[in-house]
Amino acid sequence: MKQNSKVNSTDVAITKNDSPTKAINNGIELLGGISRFIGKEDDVFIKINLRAPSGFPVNVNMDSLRSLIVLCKDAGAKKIYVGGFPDYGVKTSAINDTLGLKSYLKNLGAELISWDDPATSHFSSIEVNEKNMEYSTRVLESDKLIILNQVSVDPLFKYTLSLLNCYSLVSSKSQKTDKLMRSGKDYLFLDQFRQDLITNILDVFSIKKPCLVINDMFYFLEGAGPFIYMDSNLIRTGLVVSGSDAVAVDLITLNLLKIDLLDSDILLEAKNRKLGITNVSEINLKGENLDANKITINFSVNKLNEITINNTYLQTGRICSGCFKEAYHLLNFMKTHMTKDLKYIRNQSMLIGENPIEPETVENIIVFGDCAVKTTKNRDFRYIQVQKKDNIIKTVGEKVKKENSSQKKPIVKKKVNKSIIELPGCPPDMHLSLNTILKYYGKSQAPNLSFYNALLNQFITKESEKPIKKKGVTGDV
Amino acid sequence: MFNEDLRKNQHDILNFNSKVSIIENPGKLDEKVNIPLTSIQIDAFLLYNLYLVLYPRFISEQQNNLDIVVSDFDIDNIVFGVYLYKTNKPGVHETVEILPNDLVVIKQEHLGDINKLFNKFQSSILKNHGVKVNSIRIIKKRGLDLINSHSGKISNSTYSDIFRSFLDLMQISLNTNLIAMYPEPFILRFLRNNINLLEGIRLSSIFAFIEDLIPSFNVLVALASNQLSFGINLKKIESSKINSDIEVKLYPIEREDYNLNSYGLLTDIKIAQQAFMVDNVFNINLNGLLKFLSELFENEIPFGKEILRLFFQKFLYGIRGYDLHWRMYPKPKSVNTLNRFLIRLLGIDLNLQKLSHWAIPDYVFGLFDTFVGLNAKILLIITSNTKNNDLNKQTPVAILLEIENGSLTKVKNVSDKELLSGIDHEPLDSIRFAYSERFGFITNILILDKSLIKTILNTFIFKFQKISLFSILKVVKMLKKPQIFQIYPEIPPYSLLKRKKSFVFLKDLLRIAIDKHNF
Repeated sequence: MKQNSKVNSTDVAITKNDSPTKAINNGIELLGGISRFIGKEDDVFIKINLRAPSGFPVNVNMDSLRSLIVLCKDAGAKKIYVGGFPDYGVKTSAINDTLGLKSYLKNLGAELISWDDPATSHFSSIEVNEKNMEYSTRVLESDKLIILNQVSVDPLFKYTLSLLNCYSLVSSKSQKTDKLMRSGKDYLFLDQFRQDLITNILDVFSIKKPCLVINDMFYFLEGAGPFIYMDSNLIRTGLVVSGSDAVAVDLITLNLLKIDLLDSDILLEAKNRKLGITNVSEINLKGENLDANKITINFSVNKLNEITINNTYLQTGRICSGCFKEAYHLLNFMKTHMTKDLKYIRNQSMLIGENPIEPETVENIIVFGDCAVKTTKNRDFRYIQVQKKDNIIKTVGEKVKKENSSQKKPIVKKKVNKSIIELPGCPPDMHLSLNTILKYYGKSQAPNLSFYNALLNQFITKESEKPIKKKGVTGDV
Repeated sequence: MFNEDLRKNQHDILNFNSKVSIIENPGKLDEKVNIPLTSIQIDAFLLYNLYLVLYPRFISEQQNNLDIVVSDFDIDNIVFGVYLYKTNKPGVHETVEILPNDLVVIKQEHLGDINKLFNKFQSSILKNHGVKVNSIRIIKKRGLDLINSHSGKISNSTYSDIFRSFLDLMQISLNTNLIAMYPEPFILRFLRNNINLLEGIRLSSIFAFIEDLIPSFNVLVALASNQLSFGINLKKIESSKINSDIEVKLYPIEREDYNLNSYGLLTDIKIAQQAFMVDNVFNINLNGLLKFLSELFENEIPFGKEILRLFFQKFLYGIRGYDLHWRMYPKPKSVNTLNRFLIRLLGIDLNLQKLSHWAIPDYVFGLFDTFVGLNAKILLIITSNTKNNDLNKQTPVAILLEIENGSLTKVKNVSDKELLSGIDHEPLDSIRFAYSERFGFITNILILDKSLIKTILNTFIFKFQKISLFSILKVVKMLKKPQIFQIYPEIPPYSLLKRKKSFVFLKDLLRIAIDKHNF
């Protein structure tokens, strides 16, 4: 573990102001000034949120980033690098094209690091807890690491902690949480995915600890997040929490949002691993009063059924956190960007998790995730009863012979239901899922998705696109 | 205290209004007056009816109003004049009575509590004159001076000059609280809050800018309902480039001459075109329009995301309701079944009556929020790339649009010659950086040429009757030309537009904009 802070790690500053720039500057001032964090000729790496080619607050607040860069320059930093791994295999260049970051940062005297460009980025393989992590050599070699974290609601951890921000210091490949079944342990009951994910996040965090952590909650995305959805709402709190101990900064942020430490399994695990201060009484609070500034936030739903979507019926079974998160994003995506499609589709059912109950209709059934696919293999909805058509010549013959055909029982045949969309994976890949759904419904039934998919195809890396079968079957990988 | 012309016109209006209730057929009186504060001459009975319909809906449903003119300075009694307008019907003033200035003694500090002032005046007038006043207007002397100065210009100015002067008067009065009303009508709050969004932008400049962009036209906007029908004749005369004017005339539409169908629209719109000698007639159902406007005015400014979506939906629903909420003559080509069928053969469904009013706002706002963001600062630069040499080139206009949580919160004029000097030769990232250093991070720069705005206005408003697949394709193609339209940095929907063939892009877009079925 690399330590790179001179500041007393028990100090955490809460600042409130009308301007994000002032809130950040005041916070650092309360902690003793930027020179306590950054030395002359230091190479500084600022890790920001760079999730997707989308507007604020999906990515960092640029005004906050600007103030931080200016402060680092004032402290005499030699080089200032800025970066982070985007989500869902999106390339940094795609985000740069949408935000125009590179030139803006260059004008400010900083450099945007594109980690998905093999020509300029190098990675060191670091083994933590018997797992190899692809960690940026640039970050390792930088004298100082700063985390500038935009705080929003998060479906798994309630809000996007700075510890989560650190996780995107490693490549998407290293971030992937493999499904590891332990003998004698129930994967779903124990929510092994979540435990493994927390372990991985803390492993990455422990590789190189930041010298300064800023939880920027000047603007806070509540309702649905951290991407922008129909239920998202941006509130202005004017608050910024900063300090040198990421765990302590996250804990104070948690307190400001009226969440107890016991409700945050990631901070509890950090406490077990002694990765930082997890006792508020041990923290030397500066600036605004903690109790007087607590805010009530509308957090994102913790049950998928609470996301109400037009013409869509949800049946959920036992579900792991990985599938929950992806289903949460898929459902919010549908609600936000598929208004018209959902009206045209008229009726669709979504089965998520292990052993979901039978859908009400046999039309347009989306089976989401490996667990759902596996446990519904022999369910009734997989087959439909169709009346077998009689041989025309035979029917005519019978009519000529004046046989009473109406008394005959119709011959019913069992056929495979082709109105099913299977989205395999644990969790399923978001982009692949959207492709499969579009392939099933087609352009005329899903015009909104078709247009949006064309937009996404511009910046999603081709590697994630896998062949998909024709209508009614699966997006097998 | 009041300008002579203004006072005389007001006297004529009151005089006519007082006659209406005692004359059998006031419509036949054929008296003309001016619409207050304008040079627009109007049939006095039409103005009476306009007050009768519009005043209760937008200003006050109560009878008897009081005007109080007060000093701008702090003196013992700041009251300069008290005018009581008695009304039999809300909004229709029939008499004016000058009351003593010391009826209620006011000091500057009292203006802070207009509710208390209202109660004092109400009880005093009820006690002394036996009239219950239900609304008061407080006009500061400076406001009155501005009104008088504006009125003085009316007799020897063009319609456009008067309208610009009126907009200035309104903006100054509302910005500096020269006029206040109690109870405050929604429309006043709506106007004031909207004007407050503007920083360094005059309404008159916006009007002048739009006036410059629109082509010559001669249209009649026929607003019809069972209660009141009238026509507004708008005519842009372009005698020379410098002296263009928009002429405005208001005419009553007599029910004896024009029948209304069950949707409250003129049954034979063609007759109106011939009778009023105009190029186009836009016939709009007045009741629907008034309902839309009164709902619009009731909302807080800036509009919240949901309200904005709702009003966008309502607006599109109105547009979709051709032959239901509005119609025009000559009839738009796109409404013709044969034309639509032929275009449909190309795979394009261009059907105004199937506009997806319910789905477009969600999709548009969804895309905007996603790719521009919930908070954004957009620098809008309007250029005029004339084909002549650079000497004739005008300085671009730069407007900064500030958006917070999806709502427009500020519109600033940022036309800085120094910052914009490099627009032709410097990369856009330098311009963005320079502006960002001064105004905070600029999310996107949007550069559009006046020719594009002109084409859009022509296609979708002034030549709407000729709208076709090709005219829309022309707009789409123009959006691809960097000398006409640019977005920096490019947002994905615009990159897709540039990448795709115009026809294919339009086809995909129309799938979103037009309903497959009628629900």
